Amino acid sequence: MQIDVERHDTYSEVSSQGRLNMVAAPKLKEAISSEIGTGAKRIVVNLGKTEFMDSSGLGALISCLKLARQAGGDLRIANVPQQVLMVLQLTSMDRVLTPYPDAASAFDRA
Amino acid sequence: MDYVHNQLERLWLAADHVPLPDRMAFDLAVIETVSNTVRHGVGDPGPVEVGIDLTATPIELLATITEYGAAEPRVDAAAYRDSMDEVLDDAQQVLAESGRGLAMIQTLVSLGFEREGTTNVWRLRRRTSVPV
Repeated sequence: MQIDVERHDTYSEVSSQGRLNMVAAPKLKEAISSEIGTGAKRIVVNLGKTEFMDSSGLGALISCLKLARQAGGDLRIANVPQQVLMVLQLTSMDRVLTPYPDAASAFDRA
Repeated sequence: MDYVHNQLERLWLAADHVPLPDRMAFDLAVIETVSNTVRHGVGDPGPVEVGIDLTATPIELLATITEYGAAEPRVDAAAYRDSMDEVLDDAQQVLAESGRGLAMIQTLVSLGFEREGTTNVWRLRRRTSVPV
């Protein structure tokens, strides 16, 4: 599991690579909350290289979504693979975390 | 947890007839079940040992997850009844950060449980969509 944070002009892109399970979920949560802590309001989680996500990974995303909204911003997800989409649809969380095709378009219509 | 992911990958190498949607569903159900045992399993008396057995037949996928030396699972009886619809109907749960695992498992596989002595056995079963 590898997490990278890249700062763009209008948003921070957090890329999660590997398996987003109960071991990795707290690490993602920590990376995003520290990014929000430094003042970032718009977070895009790039899931393009996320091989697997379970309910722990989903929980981390929801937790960070709430943090971002509390900070007056938002969290969006991009580049969502089939397996992650399955988890979002099973839990109907695709209504709350709408998948965007890529990181750059996630805040296009903000 | 990597061990379990790797065992699943090995299973799919051997059982390449299983369609991708079934693999994804089974992977998720197995990982959620093992995560639950790691998260909630209580040793009786010592640490719990978890064993995993995965089988793919032409028509179904089977997983047996065994907790050796474990106390009786403290799963909320209501959690067994709650389907994903009920979880979703509860407005307070929409942005909950946990509590979806068991409902997901029950959507993806049929789940059986047996306890014998200090051993808990979870049996997962999913019929594949392979045309017979």
